[in-house]
Amino acid sequence: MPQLIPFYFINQLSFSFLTLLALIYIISKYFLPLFTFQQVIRMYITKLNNK
Amino acid sequence: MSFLGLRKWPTPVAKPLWPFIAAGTITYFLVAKAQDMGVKSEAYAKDPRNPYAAQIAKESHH
Repeated sequence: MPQLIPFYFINQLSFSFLTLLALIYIISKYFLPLFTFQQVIRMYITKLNNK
Repeated sequence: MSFLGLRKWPTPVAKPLWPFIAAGTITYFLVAKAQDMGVKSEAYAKDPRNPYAAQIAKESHH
């Protein structure tokens, strides 16, 4: 099984860590804030409507 | 800055993630040591797929 062969360990680890870091960066900077923004807007709309 | 047309938000990334990045660095060094030990072990030292086979053969002769 290639994943258990020692000379591929660092290669696997490097690719996994770089992919994870890139995904976390892109998702937290570009996609997750949109959900927060939507919740904030909904709160504003609700409060303004209640007044 | 935009990515696929979406704007960039000032979310902190380094501040909450620094312990995990530090742990990842330590893991990287430990796995490198484990790889070195595994590559020089009897089971894999003479494996034809081993890219370090020639180096190990030289070192063992010296």
